[in-house]
Amino acid sequence: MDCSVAVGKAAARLDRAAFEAFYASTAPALAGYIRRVAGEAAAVEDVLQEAFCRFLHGRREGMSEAQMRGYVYRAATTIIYDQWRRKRTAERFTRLEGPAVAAAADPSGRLDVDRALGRMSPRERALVWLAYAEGATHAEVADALGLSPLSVRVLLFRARRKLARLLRKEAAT
Amino acid sequence: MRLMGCEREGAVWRGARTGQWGPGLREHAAGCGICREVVAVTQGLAALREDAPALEALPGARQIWWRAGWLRSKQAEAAIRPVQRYRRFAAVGVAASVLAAGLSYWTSAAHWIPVPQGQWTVFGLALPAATVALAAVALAGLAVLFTLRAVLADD
Repeated sequence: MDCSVAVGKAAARLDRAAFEAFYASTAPALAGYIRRVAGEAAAVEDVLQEAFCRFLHGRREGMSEAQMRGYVYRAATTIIYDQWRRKRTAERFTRLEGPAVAAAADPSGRLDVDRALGRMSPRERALVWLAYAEGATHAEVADALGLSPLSVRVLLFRARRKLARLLRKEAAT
Repeated sequence: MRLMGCEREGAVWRGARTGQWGPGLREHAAGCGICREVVAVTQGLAALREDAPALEALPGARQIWWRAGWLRSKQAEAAIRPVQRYRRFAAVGVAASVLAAGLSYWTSAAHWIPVPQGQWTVFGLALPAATVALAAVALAGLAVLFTLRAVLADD
């Protein structure tokens, strides 16, 4: 059975099987999101688990699949922001974990994009990732980040412009 | 060029993502500043998106389900802890009050309590009646306390 169908049918009363279906359909993309927004691969597992635990603990009965997805993304975003703030307060956070050595051969350009993302704030990373990697609508992005759709429009425009500029700079160097 | 967005932005995003460009769309994307940015960002992020971990590499759903349940029970325990503490204080307070009242009124109450005289035979043993009566009262008091405790614990 298709995961989304299984989740949709049991969304009103989420049992373990429905949760497993929802997890299977959501977790890989969410892990990718956490990896890029948090900026460190080591954070993925912890943030993912915590986000889903928060979802299981705080979800309301009768949520649609889209609402459930928005909930876990919002939870993950909150956890990442909190961690980032703590790190920044401790003056330990400087840059995303970057490649240890200069890119010797990177035909895919992934390292350039990684470095460019590393020069953006977590919110900017979250905005561009959700909108352009996951194809989320402004409303979905707003739901995931706890912003108004109008703010998303403006902030996304700025974040996209910044990333495009950084990518040009990376390509030039 | 519009300041905040282009009306063909969505189509350009889909084209950049899937590689399927509609007629004239690629030319538009090349000439529109916003759409050029959309293409650059979408194609750049698409490379990273392929790095997303597979489901098998992530913690199991069942593990998260049980962990959430365990956390929920821990939080529930933490939530009722103050109530349990209050109950203990209340039980100790009631017991202390009863004891204090019993001690302070003992001398006057002793006149009104009929103390049995002589000897009673219990299980074939002849014992002073007063001692047997006191032991019976003490046992009854203990029984009342245990009953109270059981009732409070069930609540």
